[in-house]
Amino acid sequence: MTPPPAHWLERDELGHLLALIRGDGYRLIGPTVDGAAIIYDEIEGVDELPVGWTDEQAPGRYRLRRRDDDAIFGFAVGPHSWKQRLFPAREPLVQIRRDGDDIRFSAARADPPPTAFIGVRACELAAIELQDRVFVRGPFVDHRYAARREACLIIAVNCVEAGELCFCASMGTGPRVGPGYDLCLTELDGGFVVEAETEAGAALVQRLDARAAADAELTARDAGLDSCRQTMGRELDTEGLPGLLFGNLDHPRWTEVAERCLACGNCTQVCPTCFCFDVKDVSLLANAETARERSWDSCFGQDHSTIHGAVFRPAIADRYRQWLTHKFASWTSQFDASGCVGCGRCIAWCPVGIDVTEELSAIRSQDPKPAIELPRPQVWWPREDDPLVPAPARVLEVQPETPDTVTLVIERTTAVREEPGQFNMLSLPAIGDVPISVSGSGEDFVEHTLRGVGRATKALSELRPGQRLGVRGPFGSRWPIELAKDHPLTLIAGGVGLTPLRSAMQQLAANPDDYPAVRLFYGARSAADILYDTELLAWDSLPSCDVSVTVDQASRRWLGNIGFVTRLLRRKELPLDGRYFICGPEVMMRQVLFLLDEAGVPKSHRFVSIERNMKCAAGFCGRCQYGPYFVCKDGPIFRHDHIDFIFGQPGF
Amino acid sequence: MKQALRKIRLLCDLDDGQLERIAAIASIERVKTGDIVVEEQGPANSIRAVAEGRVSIAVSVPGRGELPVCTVSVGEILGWSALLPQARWLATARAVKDTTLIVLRGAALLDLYEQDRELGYRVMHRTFETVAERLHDTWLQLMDSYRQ
Ligand code: SF4
Ligand code: SF4
Ligand code: FES
Repeated sequence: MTPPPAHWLERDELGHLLALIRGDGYRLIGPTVDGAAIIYDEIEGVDELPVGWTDEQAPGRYRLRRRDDDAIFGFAVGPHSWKQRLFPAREPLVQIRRDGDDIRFSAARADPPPTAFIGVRACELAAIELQDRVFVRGPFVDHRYAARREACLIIAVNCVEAGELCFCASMGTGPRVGPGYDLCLTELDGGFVVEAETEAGAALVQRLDARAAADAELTARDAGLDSCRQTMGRELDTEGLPGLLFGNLDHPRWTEVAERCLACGNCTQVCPTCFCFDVKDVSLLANAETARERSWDSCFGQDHSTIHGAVFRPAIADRYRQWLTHKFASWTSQFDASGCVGCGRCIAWCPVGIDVTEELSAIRSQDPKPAIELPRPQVWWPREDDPLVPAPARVLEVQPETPDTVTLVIERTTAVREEPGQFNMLSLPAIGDVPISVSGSGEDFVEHTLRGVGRATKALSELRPGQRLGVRGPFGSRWPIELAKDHPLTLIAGGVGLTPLRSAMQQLAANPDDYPAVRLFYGARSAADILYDTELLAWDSLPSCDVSVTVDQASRRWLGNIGFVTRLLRRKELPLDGRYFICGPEVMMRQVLFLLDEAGVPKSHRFVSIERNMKCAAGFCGRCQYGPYFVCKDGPIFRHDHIDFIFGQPGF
Repeated sequence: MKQALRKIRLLCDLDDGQLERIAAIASIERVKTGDIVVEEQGPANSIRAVAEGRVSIAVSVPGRGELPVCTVSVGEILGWSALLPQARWLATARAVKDTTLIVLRGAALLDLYEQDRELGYRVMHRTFETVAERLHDTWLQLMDSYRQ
């Protein structure tokens, strides 16, 4: 590729450039001094840029200082990043209107005005490109983000001076600005070398009083970039880092750093690539109108990993490890790139001065265990629908199952037929949405069995026929029923873990020729908690199926098995060529997997269903992370050998 | 009898001769649904294996009656207390189906162990395995893990 033709722009002409852009209807957002920091804000012209200012940075420290010259872009990066503009800290996603039993959901639109980002650094452009991978590269598209991204014009700036905390050269993201800009400036004595990458950029150059850049100016630009590269304040060896981190989940350094870390989450807030968010319903007008809003979240917060009151990352060491393993390892499996661009913000803005480069090299250099192999990134087919907007659906029937569990039969809202193991997000205004696995489906209905334990499930379980709720989905992976053809198949369920297996069981029972030997082992809390009892009996009466039930607690009237579900398994053959589908509380699944280990059943023959906190179900919110996976899109059904390095690991 | 003994996990490591020696001290007991097999507090003198049917093990709780804690199925044993000196039953076992049991008198079994240490080792090894598994499964059951 031939480099874009470079031009020379006199220093005084920068104002002209900005005026042209404004004249074209763009709002300008650029660096400006605000109090004690350089932030990104709306500006009108050159006067508001940080002329003659620089920033001094060190771990836990950021100060502005006057320069000896009047350089315009003579600083590194401040607490702001362009993420604030493309992915605002708080924004509505869905508007919900309720009118009696009628509920309407509509997508909140972004309608962004054309906006020019002035002074985007190489690392920052790389960060924008990384967030594009999260929000627009699939499987789903976040339309609000995409609209803002479309509306922006990027005026980038090459760095000719490195900051004390910069390590973009190590991360391969700078200091030279990579592709994705409209115009790129390199500030030199007396003016700028200007390069255009897009037609919009080239058209601007045409309208400027800019001549072709002289060779000496190009040499000076390259020399500036070189010296910047050589004076980076930090360095990081990224070779094999993802596998190394996951090979060292029990490295003592995690506990050491946790003694210093305050779990304040500053690092994740300033990081230009962090994308986790929370979703809450905010009600207006006496509940007639609700805005479903997202707001930035941090893996350092306790709520991030909490479901049903259980916190999956209780200790600071778990959370710090989550942040670092995600950023520097899981990203590679999730998005085919490191999640760090080497901007150094998390080091400067950490109140106790924790330095990621130092932490990572400590793990590499202090007695590391061997690296492990991580999953390769998946290729997703983009889906055009807005995954965050529910469709209203009517409750057709409510079947009581147990004293606290009901099956909602809901009218079908999509042409996509749910597969056994997948889930839908069910939602009510002012309450929010929750993932519920599909327990059955037909031409024009979907069934969801749910226990009314939390606020949302309780409200859902109280719905009456004719009332409406919101449904979005189906999401997630499914039970690979076809892999079980011609093999004995064993389903092992605990508690409500039977619900995602029920639709699988229905299909298996209906096709005895393909599945002649199906066994279901089901453990329930007590006889009163047994789900689908008539169906269990019907399946058991089929020659192709064998159903065994056991309960943890019983009265004298119960004549069936009593004991944990592992007791049932110990009594039976566990064939090595069999396939095993397991769903229940993690502690139960772990014990079942031990038994299968003892029996010598290969891990590739076992499939488990994993549950984690979920907010979006579309791969955007980061809440459902499970090591290198997202439970919402890579799961919930995983093959055991794909997750065995994190399954049962405390903190994941 | 030897056929029936073969199905019992406790005895699965024994050779023919050893099984015959066990058969010589074994007897068959048939009970109907609801019948008591052994009663809490009674003297524990025999270890039993389920050949057919199912037995529940229950502990009496004042004010709540008999509280079943587990069931024992085909191939499994109950009553290992019988191998302890002067033991009493700590729970009541009751048939929850029509059940056939193989009864091995504790004292006779211990005598056999003495005469044939190898047999004793093999059977005790399996007994220990059963007790350990049963204990482990009980922990899991106590966790009430399906609650949330
Ligand atoms: S992890 Fe730190 S250095 Fe890397 S991109 Fe985020 S804030 Fe910048
Ligand atoms: S590493 Fe620093 S910034 Fe991040 S949570 Fe810990 S104390 Fe806060
Ligand atoms: S990323 Fe939001 S639930 Fe998975």
